[in-house]
Amino acid sequence: MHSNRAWSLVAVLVTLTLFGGASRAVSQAAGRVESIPGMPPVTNPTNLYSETTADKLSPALANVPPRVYVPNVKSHEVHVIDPATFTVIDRYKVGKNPQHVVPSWDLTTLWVTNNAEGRTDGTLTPIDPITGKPGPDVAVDDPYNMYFTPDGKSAVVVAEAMKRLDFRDPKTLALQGSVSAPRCGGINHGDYAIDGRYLIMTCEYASRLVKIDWRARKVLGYLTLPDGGIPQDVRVSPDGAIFYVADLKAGGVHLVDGDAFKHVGFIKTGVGTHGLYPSRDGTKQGQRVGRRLLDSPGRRHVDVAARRQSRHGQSERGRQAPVALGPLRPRRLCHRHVHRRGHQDDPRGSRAPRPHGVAAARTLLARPHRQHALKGMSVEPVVRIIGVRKVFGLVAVLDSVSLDIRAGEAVALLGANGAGKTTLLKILATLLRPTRGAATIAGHDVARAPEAVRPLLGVVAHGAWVYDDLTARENLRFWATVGGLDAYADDLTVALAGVGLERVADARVRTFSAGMKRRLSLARVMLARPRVLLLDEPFAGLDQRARKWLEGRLEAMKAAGAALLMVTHSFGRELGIADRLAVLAGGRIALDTARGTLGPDDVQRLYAAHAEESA
Amino acid sequence: MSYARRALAVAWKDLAVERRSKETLNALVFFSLLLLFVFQFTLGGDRERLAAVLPGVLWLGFVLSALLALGRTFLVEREHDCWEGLLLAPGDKSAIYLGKLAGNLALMLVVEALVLGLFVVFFDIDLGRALPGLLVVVLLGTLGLAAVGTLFAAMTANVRARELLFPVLLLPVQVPVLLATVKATEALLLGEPLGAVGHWVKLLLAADVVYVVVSLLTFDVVLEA
Repeated sequence: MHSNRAWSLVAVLVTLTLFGGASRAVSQAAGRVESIPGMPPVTNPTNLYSETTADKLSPALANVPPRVYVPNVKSHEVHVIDPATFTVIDRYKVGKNPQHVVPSWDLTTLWVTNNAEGRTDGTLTPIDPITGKPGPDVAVDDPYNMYFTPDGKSAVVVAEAMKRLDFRDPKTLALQGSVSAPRCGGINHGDYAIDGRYLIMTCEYASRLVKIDWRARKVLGYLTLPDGGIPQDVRVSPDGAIFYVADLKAGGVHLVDGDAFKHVGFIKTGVGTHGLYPSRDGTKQGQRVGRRLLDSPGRRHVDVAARRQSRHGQSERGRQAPVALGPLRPRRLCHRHVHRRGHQDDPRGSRAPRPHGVAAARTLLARPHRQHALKGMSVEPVVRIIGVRKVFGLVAVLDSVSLDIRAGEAVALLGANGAGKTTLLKILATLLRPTRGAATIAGHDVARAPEAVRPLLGVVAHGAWVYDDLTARENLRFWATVGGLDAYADDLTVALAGVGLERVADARVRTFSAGMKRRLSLARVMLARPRVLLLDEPFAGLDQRARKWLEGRLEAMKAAGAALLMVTHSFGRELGIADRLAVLAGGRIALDTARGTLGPDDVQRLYAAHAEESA
Repeated sequence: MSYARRALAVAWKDLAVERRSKETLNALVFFSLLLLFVFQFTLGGDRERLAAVLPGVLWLGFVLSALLALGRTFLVEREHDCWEGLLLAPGDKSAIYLGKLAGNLALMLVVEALVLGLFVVFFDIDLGRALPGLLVVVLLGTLGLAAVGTLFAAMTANVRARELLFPVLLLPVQVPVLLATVKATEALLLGEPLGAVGHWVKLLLAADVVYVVVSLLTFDVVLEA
């Protein structure tokens, strides 16, 4: 009897499960998407961006003047630009380190997310989009970014440093609940499934994605990206079948099946792939790429139907412009739903022409990229050396050395043997104390506060810092644990894959060549994702292939916002990634110049003129 | 939790490296065998003379093995250029000390167990009732040796003539431990119960606590110096 009941129960459950899956398939086949309750309907299942076109803006924006709001993470201000005149018409202080300006679900407020980096006094500043003026700050934990749930019932505050999403009341910001994603270091950008059931976020520092059931408030799983990628923006495809994930390091866009949560492909686009913007008609996806490429210009397009790169580079500049400048799907996912909400509320629906409102919507797109673009353009030096003198016995090895390095900048420090290059590096690494003068890293004095400096540093010294009798994986795990990092098994695999050692991950290091040991050393550094990288002769002992590989990795780390100081006495390949050259001679910086277009011969002449004269 | 994880990682690493390379273990076992042979030939079969010197002989073997083992504590870091890596690890450095101490303690106890076994065979001794008490004394004595030895090994890791300096520094500080262990071992081998050597055990305990606490408090300074 009990057995019969149990079988009946199983049969009912199986039927319901099949029916549930089938009904979704049938719905999609029938040309409609069954979105979650409370979410505005998906009008066109083949292009969920269909309601973001020029004539379909919410009436809520009718009285909103077109403005561009630019948060300035360093000055703690928001600048207001009038796009008609391209002038800054207003600026005001907000909270500490404003990162993004995000419109609320109902479009009545713009929220500035001030995450107060490294501190605990994060705030959200409301701005009235009609007056353009800020209101009083609201204290919340670590607000790096902000979204709204598809049904508009919660604001989602992305607490990046805490690896957490906080769900808050969209009006009062009172905490409703949280989802912790402990394996999602650098959780920052996300997008919802086409039906709004789940959310996929990028984990920038952990080379993976996290899938979240936001209604149940639980993590459904993690997906590690290949080759230790640095995921940035994520965006669902117009038909909702695929999520595009921009990868800064891989220089392209990953294709991820959101439902199965599987990596299904990759489209190479170019170095520094960062932002994703769909075209007006939902047929192309534009990627904003790194600073250097933007100058020349750095947009690549992906054909979303063929899921491949469609146009490339500078020669396409004219043709690219309409795609990149079209009324983009608004930056935050909430915008998509805002537009749909506008539909629901507006009986004129998509036929109401509101060109003025389109411009206003575009003003909502202003968004900084803290980790990369802003760091790349940072004015404040991360490394600051001021009048450092170091004396050993009676010999002054360094005498009044001063040098600054900014985030995203690489400086090659040249000098003859005994010039004091390694001594300077050791002072920055907190291994030696200067006799006089000071050196700071991210504002922390290396001599007085070494414990504050060390977590920010990655050091690749002469020695590889590896134990021959441990395997590559064991070495990484050891250094990660001793360094206080939460390194999971797949973090180690990703780091090893990033340096091309995944196949020998479980081989003892004793069997490795010098180049392989150097790569392992780089993997150790990459695992920690330091803000400052100190490299002592990084290319020494490497063959041509390994040199090329290392150059690429260092470029990627630079693009990711790290400051690099490379000590060398060669004029070879490492100079290619240096933005500046400094020559150390006679205990002083004899030359500090931008590398620009200087070739190896030019550098050698400069070096001879400065180093050998001073010697 | 992170503190314990870091300490465990250091201990695991030292033991894994040693288990795979067996560099120290092989040398210590060979050295102990040589030592026992020398004592066996020197002391011969005179049971009376043997009984008088056996505790000293046993601890001489332990101490000389310990000097060899402890002197190599940070050698693996120097050989693999990892010393700077440990220095730059953020957080409380005493976790590194605890890990190193645990690794040393484990290695020394393995060697001592071997030496004790060979000691019984070479000198035909019936440990019988003395064994439990002897284990307590050996454990406490080894902890005292390892606690100071690990600290001094860090102090002398980067100085010239460290092989000379290390025992010169270590042995005077170990006088209370050596005195207590030899006297307690002598009494236990003569058949006295552990309770009868309680005062020596208390001295050992006090010395261990002082050595471990002082080492934990000063290791950071020693490492940064």
